[in-house]
Amino acid sequence: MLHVAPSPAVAGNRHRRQMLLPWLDAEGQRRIRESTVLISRVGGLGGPLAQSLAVAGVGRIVLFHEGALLDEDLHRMVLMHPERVGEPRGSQAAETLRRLGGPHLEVHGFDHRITEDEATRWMREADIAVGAAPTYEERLLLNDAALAAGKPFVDAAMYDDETHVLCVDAGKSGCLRCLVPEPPPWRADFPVLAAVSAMVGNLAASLALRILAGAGPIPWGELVHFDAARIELTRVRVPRSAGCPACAAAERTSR
Amino acid sequence: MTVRFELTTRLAELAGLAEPSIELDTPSSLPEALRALITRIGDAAAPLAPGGSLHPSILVVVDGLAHPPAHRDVTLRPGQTVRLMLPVAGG
Repeated sequence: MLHVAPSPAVAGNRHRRQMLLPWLDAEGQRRIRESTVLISRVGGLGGPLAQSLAVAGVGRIVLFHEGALLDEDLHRMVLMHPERVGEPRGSQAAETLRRLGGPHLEVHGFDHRITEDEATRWMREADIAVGAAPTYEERLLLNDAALAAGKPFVDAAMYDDETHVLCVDAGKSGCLRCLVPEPPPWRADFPVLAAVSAMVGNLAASLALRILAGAGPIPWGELVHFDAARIELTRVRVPRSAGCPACAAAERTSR
Repeated sequence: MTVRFELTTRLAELAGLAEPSIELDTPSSLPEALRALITRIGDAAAPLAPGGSLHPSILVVVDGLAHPPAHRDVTLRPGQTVRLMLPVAGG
């Protein structure tokens, strides 16, 4: 694990231009600065996502990414260091984020896949969870941990030219498990263009920042599907499933 | 009754369809319409519809609302579009 503590120095005008946005006032920026974001995977999708959160001023990022850097990762994993092929990826990503985010950013980087216990533990402190993993097992794990903690969850994924983002309001909207109760059986060496994975990662980052800032609009409980080849956006309302165990856990937490 | 089915790109590939949309004469209930689609796809449907029923992880969308397996007891209107989406996974 790499833990990079923040410096006491605070950047002055670093975020002035984004605070010109009508939805992001000083109070919203303060909320972002004081927030903790838990992210599973910082590869082709989660890397640009985490990068945008870091430069936007998020105060603490906790990331998990297993495995060593491969040459074939370098076409999309923008947080990794090309000269460090063969070394663990989570630590590399944490170092890059720390450099990008500046002195106010605290980063915890783990070089393994997040476990259920770790997700539960970190969701006690995190304000939001963001799933950017390539497997449904890991994304559902994060969905369940966020909902059990009564915290929002943003899920982002892609395959080839298809992308999707889902924002979950714990106990109020439909969740990823309502939509996909069990991991699909199809597995593949997914084709990926960095331009597409970064695009959906940044859409998820934009929504996560709005949620953290307390701004809207947020498409809670809507699967936002974008096909980059057809240039076609589809929004699908995801109803809460009566038998969803993750939503039931969220309801127990909110009582 | 004619129902238009639209499949996302990856799903259309798996189903062996040259085009991502297809129109079929089907009964008006959503489960029966899905069965008609599976029959039309034929052998290519085997991994998508084990045992003759659409795999539960395939998303079925009517009028912008997802219909998970437990919520598919609905009646379609003539000319309505049923969208089928394969959950994407990658990053």
